[in-house]
Amino acid sequence: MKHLKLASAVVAACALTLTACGDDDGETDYPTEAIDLTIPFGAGGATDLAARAMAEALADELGQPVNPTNREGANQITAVSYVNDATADGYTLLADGGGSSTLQSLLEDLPYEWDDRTFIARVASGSHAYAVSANSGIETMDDLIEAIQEDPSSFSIAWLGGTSTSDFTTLQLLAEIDVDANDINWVPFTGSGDAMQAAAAGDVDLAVGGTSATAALYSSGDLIPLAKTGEDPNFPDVPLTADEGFPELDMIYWVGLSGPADLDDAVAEVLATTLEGLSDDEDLAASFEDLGMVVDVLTGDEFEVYIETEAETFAELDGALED
Amino acid sequence: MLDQLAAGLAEIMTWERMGFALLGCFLGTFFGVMPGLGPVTAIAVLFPITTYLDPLSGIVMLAAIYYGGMYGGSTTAILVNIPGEVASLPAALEGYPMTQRGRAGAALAVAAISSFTAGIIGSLGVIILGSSVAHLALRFGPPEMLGLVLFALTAVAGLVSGSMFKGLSMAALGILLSMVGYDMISGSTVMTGGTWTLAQGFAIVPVMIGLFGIGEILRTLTTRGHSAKSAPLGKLMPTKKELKDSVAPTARGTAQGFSFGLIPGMLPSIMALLSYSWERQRAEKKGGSQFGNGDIRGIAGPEAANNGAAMGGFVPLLSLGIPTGPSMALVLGALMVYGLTPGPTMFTQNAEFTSGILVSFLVANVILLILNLPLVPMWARLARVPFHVMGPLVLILCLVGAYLDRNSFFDIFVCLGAGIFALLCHKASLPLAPLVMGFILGPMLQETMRQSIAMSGTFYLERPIFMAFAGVAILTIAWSIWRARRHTTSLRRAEASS
Repeated sequence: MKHLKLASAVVAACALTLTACGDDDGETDYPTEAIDLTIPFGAGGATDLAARAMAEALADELGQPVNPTNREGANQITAVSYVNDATADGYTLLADGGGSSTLQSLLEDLPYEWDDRTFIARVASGSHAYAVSANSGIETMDDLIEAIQEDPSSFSIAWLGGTSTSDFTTLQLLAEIDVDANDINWVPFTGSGDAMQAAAAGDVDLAVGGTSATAALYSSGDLIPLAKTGEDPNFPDVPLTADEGFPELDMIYWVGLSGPADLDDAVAEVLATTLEGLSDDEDLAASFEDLGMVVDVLTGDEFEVYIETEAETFAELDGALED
Repeated sequence: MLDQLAAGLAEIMTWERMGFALLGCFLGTFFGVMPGLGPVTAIAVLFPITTYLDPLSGIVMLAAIYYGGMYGGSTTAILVNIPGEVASLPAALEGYPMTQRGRAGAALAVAAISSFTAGIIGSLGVIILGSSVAHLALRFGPPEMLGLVLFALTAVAGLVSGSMFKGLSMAALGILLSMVGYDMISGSTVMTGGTWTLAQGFAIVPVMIGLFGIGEILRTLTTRGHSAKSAPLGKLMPTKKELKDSVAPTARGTAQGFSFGLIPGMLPSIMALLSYSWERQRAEKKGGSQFGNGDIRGIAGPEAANNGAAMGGFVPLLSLGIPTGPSMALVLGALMVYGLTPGPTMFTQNAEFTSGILVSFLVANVILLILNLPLVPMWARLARVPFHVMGPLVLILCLVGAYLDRNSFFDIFVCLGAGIFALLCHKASLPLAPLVMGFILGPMLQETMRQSIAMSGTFYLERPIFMAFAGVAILTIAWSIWRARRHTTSLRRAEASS
């Protein structure tokens, strides 16, 4: 660790001497070397692929390589700590998301302040789906609500440990229909893929996850996504929650970019502008579409407000749970 | 079905695609040979490159990388006792002693041939079965998985030839170690002593590299005299007897691996350990077992089971999008990026593409066999490099491998710690394989148990598949304890003194 810090310090010092000459106009020639993008989970999942798509697009635009590095473990805390502690020169960035930022606001004894970082941009977002077994007899959101309200304690729902936006999509539904979340029979799972499989088999009555997690079992006819919380061009037949009469059920998950707290404004600006320029990029849109996501760029103050609002929503929903 | 195969073959047999397959095999082998870098990392790192190709070429290359990684992993395990992934553990347990005896060539060749056989038969199996048995996967909910985990734990009985008590204790230690860290289900930290470093938990790859790779180096250093000399270079290719001995284990491994591979959660690595355990028990019952000292059957069976299970896993993956393990999840991600949603249409509307995928597995297996057999003499010569050159090199490889698994410095210390622990275990003659088994089954045991109880307080009475597995598990344990007790009085004495 020490050597790495020393190396980073040397690099930073060199960078300082270099920029010192042309610093008069407030411009930055960032980036002049490869950028390390820390991905807070293991390789291969849909979110990892999304972060990699973002890295690739960024590298094309910036003209410097953007190298994704997976640092998994400890519920994404390891990766966030790593980026927090890195030199704030813009060459170590975090592939951020709800799980590594706003959801962490709910955690006690976090080794850092959750919002003590530079939020640069949200790049893409995806929506969630409420899914039930094809044999459940439940066909619409109204059927679902009726079934939950009838006897919450015998209604089983997949729970991902409260570490995922999917869980808060579920809590949002329960709050909306005035069902006490503590009455539900929660069955724990570690990923939405497993949860969807259990829902399809009828082992749980309801599973909530990213729309893409329902794709295969939906096409095999075992699982019915009753409604989606936002647009997903891959699922034209699944109604929007808003169309079913529940516009408040609008939880999304996102992938974006952040950096250490004292990141230079000029560097953050370069990155934000670059990502804004990708809003209409067709290739990027196509790669995200395959992952069930849409390009949904948000930067600057708007993004800051979005982060705050999301954290507040999570805190409010989390308050409904006893432990 | 045959026309499907022919169509697939025609799709793959272009110069361009064969070139990508060859390149993939080379790259995959390179990753696989490096400890800590297995097929999963290889695919993750090289995946972006393949997205520039057309979907089928991309998949061909990925399949080649994946298989290259698997073949390469066994090579390092056999030659230098570093199992870079759990599935290569049997290859280290039996292959490394063979290397020390000068039979590295035979071990490598048999590993390649049995992997190849299982790969070929498995690909054909997927084509024949299609989506017909895919729904079996949905019959395996949490209670059934719990039964399966309990059943798999009984393999401990065959991972040790001595005391069952020691074996079970080491498995329990493995389960405990696997629990350290951040518990995703309850959202709390377990046994971390309040540090966020430990909240990352222990990863299996650094632990295993430490236990076997570093452990072996320390052992050589602490034993004075003959063991530090380089291994003799015997006859390179397997003898007739070695080949003959490998036939039945390969056949059994393929069948067991493929059929269990159809069940989600039944990782190829677990199947490799189960097959090893079964082959060892079978050999010990028949007499003439060389297990623990380099028995070729302990390489042939597990290598086939690993590859067979990997193939079987494609049935639920392609028809229902249910990945049976991390590498399958990666393939699923790849399919998504190519705009393909797994589902029954993979065997109907997209049948051509699917047979293209399956044929590319066949092709990758053939290329790797052709590639690997001539390489055997070269690899085998590596085993003759004297320890004062090889030792430091292996040590560096181990530490780099431990770091690369999660890009974490913490894992370097974990790896070194595991090495020292392995040395102590060796002195106390405690077996290490059950620890690895407990480590990989621990999280599954915990998760499925919690899920089953949450689903119903009396799940064990409601699920016949669970009851069957649990019953077999209890009987197996009872039987092995009884056998161990009856075996010899000397064993009992050894147990009492420990």
